[in-house]
Amino acid sequence: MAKKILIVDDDPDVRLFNSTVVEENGYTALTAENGEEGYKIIKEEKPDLLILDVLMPRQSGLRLYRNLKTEKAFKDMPIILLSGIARRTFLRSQNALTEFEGEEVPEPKTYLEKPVEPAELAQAIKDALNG
Amino acid sequence: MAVITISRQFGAGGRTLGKMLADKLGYIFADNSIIRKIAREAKVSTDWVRMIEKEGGTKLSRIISGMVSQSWIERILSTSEDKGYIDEQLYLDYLVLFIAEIADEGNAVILGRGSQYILQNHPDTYNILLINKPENRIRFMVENYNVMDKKAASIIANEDKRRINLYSKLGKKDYDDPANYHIVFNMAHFTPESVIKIIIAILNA
Repeated sequence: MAKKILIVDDDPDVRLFNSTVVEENGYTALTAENGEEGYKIIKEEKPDLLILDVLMPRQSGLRLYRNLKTEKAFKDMPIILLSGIARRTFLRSQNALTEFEGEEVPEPKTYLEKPVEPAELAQAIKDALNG
Repeated sequence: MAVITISRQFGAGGRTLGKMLADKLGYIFADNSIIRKIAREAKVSTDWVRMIEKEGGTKLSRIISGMVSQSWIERILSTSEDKGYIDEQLYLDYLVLFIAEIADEGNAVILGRGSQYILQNHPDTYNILLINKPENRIRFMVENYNVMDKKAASIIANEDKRRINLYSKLGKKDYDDPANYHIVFNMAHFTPESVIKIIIAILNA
Protein backbone atom coordinates (compact mmCIF):
# COMPACT_ATOMS: atom_id res chain seq x y z
CA MET A 1 0.00 0.00 0.00
CA ALA A 2 1.29 3.44 -0.95
CA LYS A 3 2.58 5.60 1.87
CA LYS A 4 0.34 8.49 2.90
CA ILE A 5 1.70 12.02 2.86
CA LEU A 6 -0.27 14.88 4.36
CA ILE A 7 0.22 18.33 2.84
CA VAL A 8 -0.83 21.22 5.08
CA ASP A 9 -0.80 24.58 3.30
CA ASP A 10 -3.37 27.37 2.97
CA ASP A 11 -2.36 28.14 -0.62
CA PRO A 12 -4.37 25.98 -3.06
CA ASP A 13 -1.68 26.32 -5.74
CA VAL A 14 0.97 24.99 -3.35
CA ARG A 15 -1.31 22.13 -2.28
CA LEU A 16 -1.82 21.23 -5.95
CA PHE A 17 1.90 21.44 -6.72
CA ASN A 18 2.87 19.35 -3.70
CA SER A 19 0.11 16.77 -4.32
CA THR A 20 1.28 16.37 -7.90
CA VAL A 21 4.88 15.75 -6.80
CA VAL A 22 3.71 13.32 -4.10
CA GLU A 23 1.46 11.33 -6.45
CA GLU A 24 3.94 11.29 -9.34
CA ASN A 25 6.38 9.64 -6.95
CA GLY A 26 3.96 6.88 -6.06
CA TYR A 27 2.59 8.10 -2.73
CA THR A 28 -0.95 8.98 -1.67
CA ALA A 29 -1.55 12.68 -1.05
CA LEU A 30 -3.84 13.99 1.68
CA THR A 31 -4.41 17.72 2.06
CA ALA A 32 -5.45 20.23 4.70
CA GLU A 33 -5.78 24.02 4.60
CA ASN A 34 -4.46 24.87 8.07
CA GLY A 35 -2.94 23.37 11.19
CA GLU A 36 -6.27 22.68 12.85
CA GLU A 37 -7.61 20.71 9.90
CA GLY A 38 -4.23 19.03 9.49
CA TYR A 39 -4.20 17.79 13.08
CA LYS A 40 -7.64 16.16 12.64
CA ILE A 41 -6.41 14.30 9.57
CA ILE A 42 -3.21 13.26 11.37
CA LYS A 43 -5.28 11.68 14.15
CA GLU A 44 -7.62 9.92 11.72
CA GLU A 45 -5.24 8.87 8.95
CA LYS A 46 -1.87 8.65 10.72
CA PRO A 47 0.12 9.70 7.63
CA ASP A 48 3.70 8.52 7.11
CA LEU A 49 4.98 12.03 6.44
CA LEU A 50 3.83 15.60 6.86
CA ILE A 51 4.70 18.48 4.52
CA LEU A 52 3.94 21.59 6.52
CA ASP A 53 3.66 25.30 5.75
CA VAL A 54 4.35 27.79 8.57
CA LEU A 55 2.15 30.87 8.10
CA MET A 56 -1.46 29.71 7.94
CA PRO A 57 -4.88 30.80 9.25
CA ARG A 58 -6.65 29.25 12.28
CA GLN A 59 -3.58 27.30 13.42
CA SER A 60 -0.06 28.05 12.21
CA GLY A 61 2.51 25.48 11.18
CA LEU A 62 4.69 26.88 13.95
CA ARG A 63 2.05 25.67 16.43
CA LEU A 64 1.22 22.35 14.75
CA TYR A 65 4.93 21.47 14.61
CA ARG A 66 5.24 22.34 18.28
CA ASN A 67 2.18 20.32 19.26
CA LEU A 68 3.28 17.24 17.31
CA LYS A 69 6.82 17.31 18.66
CA THR A 70 5.54 17.46 22.23
CA GLU A 71 2.90 14.74 21.79
CA LYS A 72 4.09 11.20 22.44
CA ALA A 73 2.00 9.63 19.68
CA PHE A 74 3.34 11.92 16.94
CA LYS A 75 6.75 13.18 18.05
CA ASP A 76 8.58 10.80 15.70
CA MET A 77 6.44 11.52 12.64
CA PRO A 78 8.76 12.84 9.91
CA ILE A 79 8.01 16.44 8.96
CA ILE A 80 9.22 18.52 6.05
CA LEU A 81 8.75 22.22 6.67
CA LEU A 82 8.05 23.96 3.36
CA SER A 83 7.53 27.67 3.75
CA GLY A 84 8.11 31.17 2.47
CA ILE A 85 9.33 31.99 5.98
CA ALA A 86 13.12 31.63 6.25
CA ARG A 87 14.48 28.75 8.34
CA ARG A 88 16.30 31.09 10.75
CA THR A 89 13.06 33.03 11.34
CA PHE A 90 11.22 29.79 12.08
CA LEU A 91 13.93 28.71 14.54
CA ARG A 92 13.97 32.11 16.24
CA SER A 93 10.19 32.02 16.57
CA GLN A 94 10.28 28.52 18.07
CA ASN A 95 12.94 29.67 20.54
CA ALA A 96 10.72 32.60 21.53
CA LEU A 97 7.77 30.26 22.11
CA THR A 98 10.04 28.03 24.19
CA GLU A 99 11.01 31.11 26.22
CA PHE A 100 7.34 32.01 26.75
CA GLU A 101 5.82 28.57 27.14
CA GLY A 102 8.66 26.53 28.56
CA GLU A 103 8.63 23.40 26.41
CA GLU A 104 11.57 22.92 24.06
CA VAL A 105 11.09 21.33 20.64
CA PRO A 106 13.79 19.87 18.37
CA GLU A 107 14.87 21.69 15.24
CA PRO A 108 13.26 20.36 12.05
CA LYS A 109 15.42 17.86 10.18
CA THR A 110 14.23 19.15 6.82
CA TYR A 111 13.36 22.76 6.10
CA LEU A 112 12.77 23.88 2.53
CA GLU A 113 12.22 27.49 1.61
CA LYS A 114 9.69 28.25 -1.16
CA PRO A 115 9.88 28.15 -4.11
CA VAL A 116 11.10 24.59 -4.39
CA GLU A 117 11.80 22.51 -7.49
CA PRO A 118 9.81 19.25 -7.93
CA ALA A 119 12.99 17.17 -7.92
CA GLU A 120 14.18 18.80 -4.69
CA LEU A 121 10.87 18.12 -2.97
CA ALA A 122 10.76 14.54 -4.28
CA GLN A 123 14.26 13.89 -2.92
CA ALA A 124 13.39 15.45 0.46
CA ILE A 125 10.29 13.21 0.67
CA LYS A 126 12.36 10.12 -0.16
CA ASP A 127 15.03 11.03 2.41
CA ALA A 128 12.47 11.82 5.12
CA LEU A 129 10.61 8.52 4.59
CA ASN A 130 13.88 6.57 4.69
CA GLY A 131 14.73 8.20 8.01
CA MET B 1 22.10 45.41 10.21
CA ALA B 2 21.28 46.40 13.77
CA VAL B 3 17.89 45.99 15.39
CA ILE B 4 16.74 48.23 18.21
CA THR B 5 13.82 47.25 20.39
CA ILE B 6 12.17 50.01 22.38
CA SER B 7 10.12 48.99 25.39
CA ARG B 8 8.47 51.70 27.35
CA GLN B 9 6.01 52.75 29.93
CA PHE B 10 3.22 54.35 27.94
CA GLY B 11 3.72 58.10 27.78
CA ALA B 12 7.49 57.85 28.22
CA GLY B 13 7.87 58.89 24.58
CA GLY B 14 8.71 55.54 23.00
CA ARG B 15 6.79 55.98 19.76
CA THR B 16 8.07 59.52 19.22
CA LEU B 17 11.64 58.50 19.95
CA GLY B 18 11.42 55.28 17.94
CA LYS B 19 10.17 57.09 14.86
CA MET B 20 12.81 59.81 15.17
CA LEU B 21 15.54 57.21 15.64
CA ALA B 22 14.38 55.14 12.67
CA ASP B 23 14.24 58.25 10.46
CA LYS B 24 17.72 59.31 11.55
CA LEU B 25 19.20 55.87 10.89
CA GLY B 26 17.19 55.16 7.73
CA TYR B 27 15.74 52.07 9.43
CA ILE B 28 12.18 50.82 9.23
CA PHE B 29 10.01 51.62 12.22
CA ALA B 30 7.75 48.74 13.25
CA ASP B 31 4.98 49.71 15.64
CA ASN B 32 1.33 49.44 14.66
CA SER B 33 2.37 47.89 11.37
CA ILE B 34 2.83 44.62 13.29
CA ILE B 35 -0.80 44.73 14.42
CA ARG B 36 -1.96 45.54 10.90
CA LYS B 37 0.03 42.60 9.55
CA ILE B 38 -1.43 40.22 12.14
CA ALA B 39 -4.93 41.48 11.34
CA ARG B 40 -4.38 41.06 7.61
CA GLU B 41 -3.05 37.53 8.00
CA ALA B 42 -5.89 36.50 10.32
CA LYS B 43 -8.45 38.35 8.16
CA VAL B 44 -9.84 40.26 11.12
CA SER B 45 -9.89 43.95 11.90
CA THR B 46 -7.08 45.65 13.81
CA ASP B 47 -9.65 46.40 16.54
CA TRP B 48 -10.11 42.69 17.07
CA VAL B 49 -6.35 42.17 17.43
CA ARG B 50 -6.12 45.06 19.87
CA MET B 51 -8.97 43.56 21.89
CA ILE B 52 -7.08 40.26 22.09
CA GLU B 53 -4.06 42.20 23.36
CA LYS B 54 -6.00 44.25 25.84
CA GLU B 55 -8.53 41.89 27.30
CA GLY B 56 -7.03 38.46 26.86
CA GLY B 57 -8.91 35.35 25.83
CA THR B 58 -10.62 34.41 29.06
CA LYS B 59 -12.09 37.79 29.81
CA LEU B 60 -12.89 38.34 26.15
CA SER B 61 -14.76 35.02 25.97
CA ARG B 62 -16.75 36.01 29.04
CA ILE B 63 -17.67 39.34 27.50
CA ILE B 64 -18.65 37.76 24.21
CA SER B 65 -20.59 34.84 25.67
CA GLY B 66 -22.44 37.19 27.97
CA MET B 67 -23.51 39.59 25.27
CA VAL B 68 -23.64 38.26 21.76
CA SER B 69 -22.58 35.24 19.75
CA GLN B 70 -18.96 34.87 18.68
CA SER B 71 -20.04 34.41 15.05
CA TRP B 72 -21.74 37.80 15.13
CA ILE B 73 -18.60 39.44 16.57
CA GLU B 74 -16.41 37.72 14.01
CA ARG B 75 -18.71 38.82 11.21
CA ILE B 76 -18.80 42.49 12.16
CA LEU B 77 -15.10 42.69 12.90
CA SER B 78 -14.00 40.80 9.85
CA THR B 79 -12.48 42.97 7.14
CA SER B 80 -13.24 40.78 4.17
CA GLU B 81 -15.71 38.35 2.71
CA ASP B 82 -13.61 35.42 3.96
CA LYS B 83 -14.33 34.60 7.55
CA GLY B 84 -11.50 35.74 9.76
CA TYR B 85 -10.27 34.05 12.90
CA ILE B 86 -7.84 34.87 15.65
CA ASP B 87 -7.31 33.61 19.17
CA GLU B 88 -4.56 34.22 21.73
CA GLN B 89 -2.42 31.37 20.47
CA LEU B 90 -2.60 32.41 16.83
CA TYR B 91 -1.92 36.01 17.88
CA LEU B 92 1.22 34.89 19.69
CA ASP B 93 2.40 32.72 16.78
CA TYR B 94 2.00 35.55 14.29
CA LEU B 95 3.58 38.04 16.70
CA VAL B 96 6.78 36.02 17.17
CA LEU B 97 6.99 35.17 13.46
CA PHE B 98 6.55 38.75 12.26
CA ILE B 99 8.92 40.27 14.83
CA ALA B 100 11.55 37.61 14.07
CA GLU B 101 11.07 38.26 10.34
CA ILE B 102 11.53 42.03 10.72
CA ALA B 103 14.66 41.46 12.82
CA ASP B 104 16.12 38.95 10.37
CA GLU B 105 15.81 41.52 7.61
CA GLY B 106 17.72 43.93 9.88
CA ASN B 107 17.93 47.73 10.10
CA ALA B 108 14.79 48.08 12.16
CA VAL B 109 13.48 49.87 15.21
CA ILE B 110 10.73 47.77 16.83
CA LEU B 111 8.38 49.26 19.39
CA GLY B 112 7.34 47.02 22.27
CA ARG B 113 5.14 43.90 22.01
CA GLY B 114 7.62 41.63 23.73
CA SER B 115 10.28 42.18 21.08
CA GLN B 116 12.97 42.39 23.78
CA TYR B 117 12.18 38.78 24.74
CA ILE B 118 11.56 37.49 21.21
CA LEU B 119 14.93 38.83 20.05
CA GLN B 120 16.95 38.27 23.19
CA ASN B 121 19.61 36.18 21.42
CA HIS B 122 19.37 37.93 18.09
CA PRO B 123 22.75 39.23 16.92
CA ASP B 124 23.22 43.02 16.77
CA THR B 125 20.06 43.68 18.74
CA TYR B 126 19.96 46.43 21.36
CA ASN B 127 17.12 46.41 23.86
CA ILE B 128 16.20 49.84 25.22
CA LEU B 129 13.74 50.61 28.02
CA LEU B 130 12.22 54.07 28.57
CA ILE B 131 10.67 54.91 31.92
CA ASN B 132 9.25 58.06 33.47
CA LYS B 133 7.21 59.22 36.45
CA PRO B 134 3.41 58.96 36.04
CA GLU B 135 2.92 62.74 36.16
CA ASN B 136 5.52 63.25 33.43
CA ARG B 137 3.90 60.58 31.28
CA ILE B 138 0.55 62.35 31.58
CA ARG B 139 2.22 65.67 30.72
CA PHE B 140 3.89 64.10 27.69
CA MET B 141 0.50 62.89 26.42
CA VAL B 142 -1.10 66.29 26.97
CA GLU B 143 1.72 68.11 25.16
CA ASN B 144 2.18 65.68 22.27
CA TYR B 145 -1.24 64.18 21.65
CA ASN B 146 -3.50 67.17 22.29
CA VAL B 147 -5.58 65.57 25.06
CA MET B 148 -6.71 66.90 28.43
CA ASP B 149 -5.12 65.70 31.71
CA LYS B 150 -7.98 63.38 32.63
CA LYS B 151 -8.10 61.80 29.20
CA ALA B 152 -4.31 61.38 29.18
CA ALA B 153 -4.43 59.63 32.56
CA SER B 154 -7.17 57.32 31.30
CA ILE B 155 -5.24 56.46 28.11
CA ILE B 156 -2.13 55.68 30.16
CA ALA B 157 -4.10 53.48 32.57
CA ASN B 158 -5.61 51.61 29.61
CA GLU B 159 -2.26 51.12 27.93
CA ASP B 160 -0.63 49.99 31.17
CA LYS B 161 -3.38 47.36 31.39
CA ARG B 162 -2.74 46.27 27.81
CA ARG B 163 0.96 45.99 28.60
CA ILE B 164 0.35 43.88 31.69
CA ASN B 165 -2.01 41.63 29.76
CA LEU B 166 0.33 41.22 26.80
CA TYR B 167 3.24 40.26 29.03
CA SER B 168 1.12 37.90 31.10
CA LYS B 169 0.34 36.11 27.82
CA LEU B 170 4.08 35.75 27.38
CA GLY B 171 4.46 34.51 30.95
CA LYS B 172 6.57 37.55 31.82
CA LYS B 173 6.41 39.90 34.76
CA ASP B 174 9.96 41.23 34.72
CA TYR B 175 9.54 43.60 31.76
CA ASP B 176 10.64 46.63 33.77
CA ASP B 177 13.70 44.80 35.16
CA PRO B 178 16.83 46.64 33.92
CA ALA B 179 18.62 43.29 33.56
CA ASN B 180 16.55 42.59 30.43
CA TYR B 181 17.92 45.63 28.62
CA HIS B 182 21.14 47.02 27.25
CA ILE B 183 20.19 50.54 28.36
CA VAL B 184 17.42 52.04 30.48
CA PHE B 185 16.65 55.74 30.04
CA ASN B 186 14.77 57.66 32.68
CA MET B 187 13.10 60.16 30.37
CA ALA B 188 12.67 62.62 33.23
CA HIS B 189 16.35 63.42 32.60
CA PHE B 190 16.76 63.09 28.82
CA THR B 191 15.29 64.62 25.70
CA PRO B 192 14.52 62.29 22.77
CA GLU B 193 17.32 64.02 20.82
CA SER B 194 19.92 63.29 23.50
CA VAL B 195 18.81 59.64 23.73
CA ILE B 196 19.12 59.31 19.96
CA LYS B 197 22.67 60.70 20.08
CA ILE B 198 23.63 58.17 22.76
CA ILE B 199 22.11 55.23 20.87
CA ILE B 200 23.79 56.23 17.61
CA ALA B 201 27.13 56.58 19.44
CA ILE B 202 26.70 53.05 20.79
CA LEU B 203 25.84 51.68 17.34
CA ASN B 204 28.94 53.32 15.90
CA ALA B 205 31.27 52.29 18.73
